[in-house]
Amino acid sequence: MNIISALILTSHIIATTITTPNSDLTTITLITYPVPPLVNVSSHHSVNGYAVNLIRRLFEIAEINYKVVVFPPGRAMKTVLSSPLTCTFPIERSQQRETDFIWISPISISRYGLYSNKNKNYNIQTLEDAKGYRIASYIGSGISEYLSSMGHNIYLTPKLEMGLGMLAKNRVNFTAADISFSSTDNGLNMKENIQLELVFFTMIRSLACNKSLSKHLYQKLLRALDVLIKNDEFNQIMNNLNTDLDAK
Amino acid sequence: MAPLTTVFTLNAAALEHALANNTQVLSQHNAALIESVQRQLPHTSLDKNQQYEELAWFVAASKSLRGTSIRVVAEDLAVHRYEADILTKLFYELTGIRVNFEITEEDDLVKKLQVQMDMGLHIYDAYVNDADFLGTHYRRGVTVPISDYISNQWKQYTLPTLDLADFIGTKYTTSPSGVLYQLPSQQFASLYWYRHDWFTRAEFKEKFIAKYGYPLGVAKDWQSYEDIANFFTNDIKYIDSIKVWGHSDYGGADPSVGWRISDGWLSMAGASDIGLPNGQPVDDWGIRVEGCQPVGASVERGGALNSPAAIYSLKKYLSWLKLYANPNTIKNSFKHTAITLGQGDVAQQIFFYTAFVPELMSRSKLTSPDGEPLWRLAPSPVSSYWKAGMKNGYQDIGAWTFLKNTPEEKLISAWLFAQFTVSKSVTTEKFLVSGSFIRQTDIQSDFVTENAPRFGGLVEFYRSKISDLWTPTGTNVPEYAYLASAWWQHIIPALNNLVTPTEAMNNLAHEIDERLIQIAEKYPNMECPPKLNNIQKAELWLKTDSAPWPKLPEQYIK
Repeated sequence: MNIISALILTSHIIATTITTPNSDLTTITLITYPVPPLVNVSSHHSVNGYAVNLIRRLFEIAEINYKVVVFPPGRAMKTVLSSPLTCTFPIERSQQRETDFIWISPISISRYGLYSNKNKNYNIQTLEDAKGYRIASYIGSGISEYLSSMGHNIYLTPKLEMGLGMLAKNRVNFTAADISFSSTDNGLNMKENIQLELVFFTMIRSLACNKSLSKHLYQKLLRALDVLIKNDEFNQIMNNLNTDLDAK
Repeated sequence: MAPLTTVFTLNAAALEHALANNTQVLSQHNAALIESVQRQLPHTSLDKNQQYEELAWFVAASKSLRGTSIRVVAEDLAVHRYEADILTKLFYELTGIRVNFEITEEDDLVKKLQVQMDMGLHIYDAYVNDADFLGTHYRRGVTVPISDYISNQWKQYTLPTLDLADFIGTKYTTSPSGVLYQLPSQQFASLYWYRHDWFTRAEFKEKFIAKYGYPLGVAKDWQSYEDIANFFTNDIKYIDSIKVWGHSDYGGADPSVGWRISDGWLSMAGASDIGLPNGQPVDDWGIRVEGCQPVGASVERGGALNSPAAIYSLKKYLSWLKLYANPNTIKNSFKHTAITLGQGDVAQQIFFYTAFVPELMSRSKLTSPDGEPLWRLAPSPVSSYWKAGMKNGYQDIGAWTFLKNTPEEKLISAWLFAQFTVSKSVTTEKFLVSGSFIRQTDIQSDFVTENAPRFGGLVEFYRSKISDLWTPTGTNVPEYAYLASAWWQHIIPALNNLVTPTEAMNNLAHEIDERLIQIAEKYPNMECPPKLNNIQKAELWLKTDSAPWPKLPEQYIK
C-alpha cells in the first residue's frame, strides 16, 4: 500500500531481488512490461499508465504492500510461474494460461485495431481480408498470438513505435495496436500518416499471480477489485483510456 | 472474396446517392443488390421469390440504421468464421450496418460476458453464447428477454419469416416460465464416432467375435466400448503398418477438460434423474433443485455429483485415456479433436463434438477415393447406471444473446444481424460449411437428403426423435461461468494422479455446494437463488428410488 517505484534492472539483478531471503514476505512483487498506454516505462525509469493506476488503487484498497519491477514479457510470465509472492500485469487471460495462474480480472479492457499507411487503400472489412498481408505486432502486446492463431502473417517488433515506423516506410502493410495509443503523444504525432482500418479484437487484461498466492491475499484483492467496480473508479479509468467502444 | 468486396463498395456508394436523390433509382438499385446477395446464397429452403422477399425485408427494416456499426462476438468454430467472414459483408450490402464480428476462444467469450453482466460495462452488442447459460440468464435479470421484446420494442424489427417454431433448439433457450432468452445460431451434438471401414473389415470382425463372443459393431454400452478400445489398441495394434488406438480423448490442463466431463460423461454414465431435458430434480451436473432453487450438488445435500455413477464415469474417463489412447494426445484439448482423429489412427471416440464434422470431411485419411466418409456417427454408449428416459448426451447450442445495458439503437441493429444469420435465406449455406443444423426445414429439405451420405449419419441423427436425448446444460445451473470453472480445477489433479477419482468428485461436489452458497450471497436479487439443503448422511439420499443412485454391485457394472 505504500510504494510504487519502478525498478528497471537487469534480469539477473531482478531475479536476485525476487528470490532474496531478506525480502519482506508480505510484499508482493509485481512484474510488468511496456504495453503503452496501459503501462509506459519512461527513460527515467518510472512506470505509469492506466493499468498501473488501477493496480495502485487495487493494492491500496486491499492494503497489501507491493513493489513494481520491469521484465521482458516472456520472462515476466516464466518468473511468476515459479516464484511465490509474484504477480504480473497486464496479461491477457487466455484459455491456455488459465490453469497456470491465480487471476484477478479484469484490470483493463482494450480494443485492438489494424493501422495502415494513409497513402494506401486496402478496404479491409473483416480480419479475414487482411490474410496474406504483413502485419507488425509488438512483443508483449499479446495480440500477435491471436493473429497468428487466425493464420495471419506476423512481423514481431520489440516496440510499437518500430511497427509504426515500418508502416510509414511501407515495410509492413498493417500494424496491430491498442487503439487507445492514438490518444498518446506518439499516437497524435502519427495521426497524419496512419489510419485505422479495422478494430478487430477486444482484449481483457488481468493480474496473474503465482498459484501459491494465499486464499487470504487472493480474497483481499478480489474484494478490492469489487470496490473499484462498485465505486465506478474502474469505469472512470477505462473512460480515460479513451478506448472508443464504437470504433469502426 | 475479392469480387464481393468490389460489389460492396459500389453498392454502398450508389445506395447513399440513391437514398438522397431518387426513390426509383433506389428501388432499381435495391433489386440489383438483393439479387447479388441471392447469388451468394444459392442453397436455401426458400424458393427464389421467397428468398428475395426475405432479403428485401432486411433492406427496408434497416433504413433508419444505415451507416451504424455494431460489435458482436462468438467462439472459434467454422460456423462462426462463416458468419464473420461472409455474412457480415452480405448484411452490410443489404443494410449498410457494419458488423465487427470478433472470433475468440470460448473461455475468453465467457469472461467477457461475465464482465458485461457483472460490471455493467458495455463491451459487445451481442454474444453468441451457449444455451448452457439459460439458468444464468433467466435468473440474473440483465439479459434481454427476446420473446418479450419481439412483442414490444422489436416488433417492427422482427423478421416476419423468422418462424421461431421452425428452430430445433429454442426449447433449450426458453426459460421455465416460457420466455425466450437466446436465439440459436448453431448446434452440434456429442455423438459416438467410429471407423466404419475398420468395423466392417472381415478379418477384424472374425478376430473380435472369436475373442469377445459377440460381433464387432457400434458400442451400445461401456463394456462393449472398452472391449473395442482394447481390441484395436492391444489386439490389432497395427493397420497398414500404422499403430492404431481404440480410444481417443483429451486431458490437457485447460478449461476444456472440465467442459468435457460436465458436458457429457455424467449423462452417459446415468448420474442424473430420469427426465428430459436434464433430469428432474437432479440434473446431469448432479445438482438437485426444489421448485426452481438449487439445493445442493453433493450427495450429502441430495445432489449426485459425487454419487457412485459420477465417480464411475470419472474412473472410466481416466482409465480409458491412459490404457487405450495415444499417449501423445493425452495432453491435448478441445481444439485438437479434429487433428487427432484426422491422423487416421483412431478406431472410436465415445463422444465426438460434431462441430468438427466439416474438418473431418476434408481429411484425406478419413475419406474414401469416391469422397465418402470412412467414419460414421451413432448414439453414444451408456453405462449400467443409465436408465431409459434419461438424457443420453450433450448438445451445444450457440445462441444470440443480448444484454440490457446495450444502447437501444445498437441492440436493434444487432437483433437484425442475428436474425439475418439464422434466416431461412442463410441457414442451408451455414449447414454446408459447418454441419450445423438449427432449422427443421433444412433437416427435412431435399437438398440435405441428397447430401446426407457425406455427413456420416449426422442428418439421420437429427431426423430421429432420439436427438431429443441430447441436450445442453440445464437450468439447475444458476451461474454457469462460475460453476463451470470448478470442474477443471478438480479434474486436472485426478489426471495428474494427485487425488483419486473418488476424492476428485467429492472435492468437486463440495466446492460446487460452496459456490452455490456464494452465488446466493453475491446476487441477493436473483430469481430462484440457491438455498442449500442441510447436510445429511449420504446413505439417506442413496436409499431413495431416484438420483443419487446407489452403487451397483460390481458384477452389474459395465
